[in-house]
Amino acid sequence: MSVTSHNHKAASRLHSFTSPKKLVYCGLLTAVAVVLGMLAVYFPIRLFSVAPFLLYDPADVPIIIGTLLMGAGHGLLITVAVSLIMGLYEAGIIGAFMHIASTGLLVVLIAAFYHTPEHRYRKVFGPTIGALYKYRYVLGAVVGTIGSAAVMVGLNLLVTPLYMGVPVEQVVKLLAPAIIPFNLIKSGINSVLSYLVFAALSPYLRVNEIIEK
Amino acid sequence: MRLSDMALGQYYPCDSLIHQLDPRSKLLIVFALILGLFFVNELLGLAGFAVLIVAMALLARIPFGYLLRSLRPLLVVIILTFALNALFTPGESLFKAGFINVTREGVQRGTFMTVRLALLITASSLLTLTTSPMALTDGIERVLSPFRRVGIPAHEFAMMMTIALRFIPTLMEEADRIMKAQMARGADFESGSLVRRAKSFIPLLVPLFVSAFRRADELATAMEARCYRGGEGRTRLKVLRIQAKDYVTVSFALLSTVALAVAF
Repeated sequence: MSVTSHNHKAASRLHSFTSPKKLVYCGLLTAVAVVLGMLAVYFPIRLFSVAPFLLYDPADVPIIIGTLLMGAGHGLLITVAVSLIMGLYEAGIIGAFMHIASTGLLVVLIAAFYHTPEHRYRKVFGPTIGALYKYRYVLGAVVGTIGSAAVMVGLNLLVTPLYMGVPVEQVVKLLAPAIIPFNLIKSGINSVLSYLVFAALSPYLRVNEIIEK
Repeated sequence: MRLSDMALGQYYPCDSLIHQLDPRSKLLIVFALILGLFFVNELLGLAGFAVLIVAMALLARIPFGYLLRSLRPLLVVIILTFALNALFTPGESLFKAGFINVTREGVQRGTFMTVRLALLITASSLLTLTTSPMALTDGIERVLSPFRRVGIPAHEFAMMMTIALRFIPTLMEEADRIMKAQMARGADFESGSLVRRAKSFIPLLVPLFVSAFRRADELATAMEARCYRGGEGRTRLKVLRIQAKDYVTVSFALLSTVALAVAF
């Protein structure tokens, strides 16, 4: 079938960083992320009553899936695009910078663990712990979640007093009961959700030769 | 509210002076306004910025309601900003009930912060109201293009943004349809514990991704069939040009922003 042969050709071009195929995938994943982010505005899920402005949103799921498919560079591109679109049209430009920093770190850390080849794991961690390669996504997600929560703590201390005029002491009071657990839970849920969705999608991706094997 | 009714772009088409400006000029003006707003320490200075922003909105012939409507998504944050400042700023008490203590300084500070926040939002919505998404991504591409040398894929990024903006309404409709289909099968998106609600996203997410990937494949095929090969040597339908009116407007906006930032 001609369609299959074309797909095969397209799949081989997925390797180049700026192939049209990757570009289009990044664009569509950005669109999915923005749609999910907007959904979250209309079906709000509040995690903490102390801080009603902390809303859960699954917008990071397409970003993480893009990272798993294409790597850190494309993950970052999607992150910046989503943040810009949401920042310009919905959430304000300050939120966009915070999102780029925290999700960007999450993406880079997940990619660092997920896309490292097995022999590198064995070299760095030795043969026994090198078997952790099997759990590379879990490792990346845990480290990434902690990292991005840390970035959010820093940014909240730095930006919120400037932006909202709330004294730093008030932000510090909110750290333990709201900001830290919120960011841990949000990134944690998004990491788990991404993996579940990625696993559910992988038969489709394999049949269409978007991922190899 | 139907999901597919939600519009992302708030572009207000019109043929005013501000609409005709180069998107790069508008990006520069808005960036300067946002920066300037953070340098002002007095309410009077904010009033100056408000006059500047309203003047530009009038020049752009944008109805005032459109400008106010852009505040709606951030209403919670705005109210919260005022409340937190009014309650937690120490000073002369105006109103006291139990642990609630509203101070005069708090109200002053809260007003200042709220007005500044509102101005920050209206300034950036002035950009999206007067610039079509296409022109905006074009402008972003041109602004980023000097950074190509350090490895920032400016053209690819702009192309991605354009594709995303094109497909957001389509995928919104798709998400709406999937949600309705899953609800008809008994899916529940709006109740239960956090984990339950997060899990309830899976039957929405998987079909949404498949639909997005399918569209991506079709679009990629179409682009490759037309020999799309990136930014180098590509010719454009609309070429951006800086004109005299850009110089005049930008220098006026920058001068008044600097003047306001220095004076207050």
